[in-house]
Amino acid sequence: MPMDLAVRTVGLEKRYGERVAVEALDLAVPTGRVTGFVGPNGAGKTTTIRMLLGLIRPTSGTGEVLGRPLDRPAAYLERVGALVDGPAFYPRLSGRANLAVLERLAGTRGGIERALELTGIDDRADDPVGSYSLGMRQRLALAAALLGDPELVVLDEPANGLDPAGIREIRTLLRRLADDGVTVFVSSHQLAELEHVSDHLVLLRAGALVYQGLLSSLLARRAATITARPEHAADLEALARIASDGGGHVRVRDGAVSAAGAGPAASARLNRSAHAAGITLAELTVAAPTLEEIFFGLTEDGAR
Amino acid sequence: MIRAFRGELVKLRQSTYLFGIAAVIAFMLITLVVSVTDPGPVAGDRGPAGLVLSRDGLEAADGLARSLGNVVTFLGIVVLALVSVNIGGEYRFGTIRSSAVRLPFRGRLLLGKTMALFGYLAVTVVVTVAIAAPAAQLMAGPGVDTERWWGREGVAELMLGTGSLIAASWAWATIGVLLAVLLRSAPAAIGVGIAYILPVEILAVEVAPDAAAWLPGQLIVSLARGGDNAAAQAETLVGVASWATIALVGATLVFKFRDITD
Repeated sequence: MPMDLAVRTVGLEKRYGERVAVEALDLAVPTGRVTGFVGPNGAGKTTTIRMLLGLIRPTSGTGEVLGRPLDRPAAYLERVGALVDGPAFYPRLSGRANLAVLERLAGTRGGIERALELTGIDDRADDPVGSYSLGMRQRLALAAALLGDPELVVLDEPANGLDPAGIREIRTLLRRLADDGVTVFVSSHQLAELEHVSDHLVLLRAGALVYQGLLSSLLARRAATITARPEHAADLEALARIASDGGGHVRVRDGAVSAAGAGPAASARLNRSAHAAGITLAELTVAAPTLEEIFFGLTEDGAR
Repeated sequence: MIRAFRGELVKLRQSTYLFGIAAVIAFMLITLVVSVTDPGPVAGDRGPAGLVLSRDGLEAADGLARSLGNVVTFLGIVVLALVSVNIGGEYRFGTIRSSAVRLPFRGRLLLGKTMALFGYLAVTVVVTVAIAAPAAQLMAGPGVDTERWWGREGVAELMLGTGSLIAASWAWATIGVLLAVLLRSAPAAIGVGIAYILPVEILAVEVAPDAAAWLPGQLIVSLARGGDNAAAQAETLVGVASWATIALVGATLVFKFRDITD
């Protein structure tokens, strides 16, 4: 059954003369989920987001956002909340007044207090934005994106400038939005954060798509690293041989054997084989690859 | 467009716009010192500071209105600066992105902002005239017969002059909008705008006096300073309106079709 998509693009491309910012991007962002949008600096994330928001025109390609054509942004933007390329406000106006400007532009009303409360800046809402820390501006930008109860929230690096507690709050907020049926499309270079909050992932490198799909599928694509430490150091060499027989890339380091890229049953097999060979294991751990490790693996070797 | 207008009204609460009104009032009072104190037997052109009327001209019913019109060049500088700060600031702070996402009809966004600025400028001119007119009476002193300023004809001329100043401020504003949209920077727009109003046009008229009949800045100055010839004034008004329309249409087209990358 085809997935219900909030954003879909076909061959989306943006060129600046000879330079390709985004190349033939076929994007599929499922409705009602958190989709992480990851890529190194200059990968084309912000350019893609700007195209989705009608700020820049694609050189070629088509697409739909919330079922409306990409080349008619006015038809869908009233249902979209966005934070693009960092928080942007009038520094002399208060946080509340800044939100009032945006609410009047959108032709909506009555959402300011809720947005301020959700993002936790209601106690400073009447202070000039110029006096806010970067983290507070980031929260205010999130509040601005949430005005008008959007169906799709597009956030470009929303955790920038936030302390760990703030990042956790943002993560909770994004999760809550998705649980309420809002589609969240969030770009970040803080890969660990996306790993915790995303259901779906889009990886971009040099303007081209590297991976898109379920986060769990991506994590499953890369096998875990098994680390086994024998009780007696004299067994290290024998244990390394046994691990090599199980496949994967084996390394001996700090009195332990690590096998990367081994299959899912490898740890049990290694334990059994070591026991059969009379080797007692003092430690046997299985470390799943982090999203960051997978990301660098994909972007560095160009795998798709 | 109404949405953009209403949004802009919130922005106009910033202290910058109160300082703008204060600056226009200050320039007006300085201009009046030159224009109405101790008039001579013949009129004298003081360049950007205005046309100082002869004693007879100053004591005429339109003497006050024409003297108030002398502020037009300085008014232009303040208006260009304010409009450039307003629109250039949108690019500087990045608020142009959030505005264009919230109101994706870009033509309406720019025109709504411009209309709000027009409203602000009209209030600025009215407040300035309300302060400057009695101030002119005081500055003129007992040596100048100001009785005709306050007669029926004089008050009508004052209202007409105020209208002309408002129209002039709007025309300057359209030039400011065009420059700010084209240059996407307040300092650049202010620099180019003021350089154009003062040295460029003044030099152009020195070199080719006939150019005064169609250069935008000269037409705006001529409109605000008024004159006896109603037909010539109507022609000037058409010229100013034409330039303002060209500037506004040009700015709207650029704003509508150019990518927002700031």
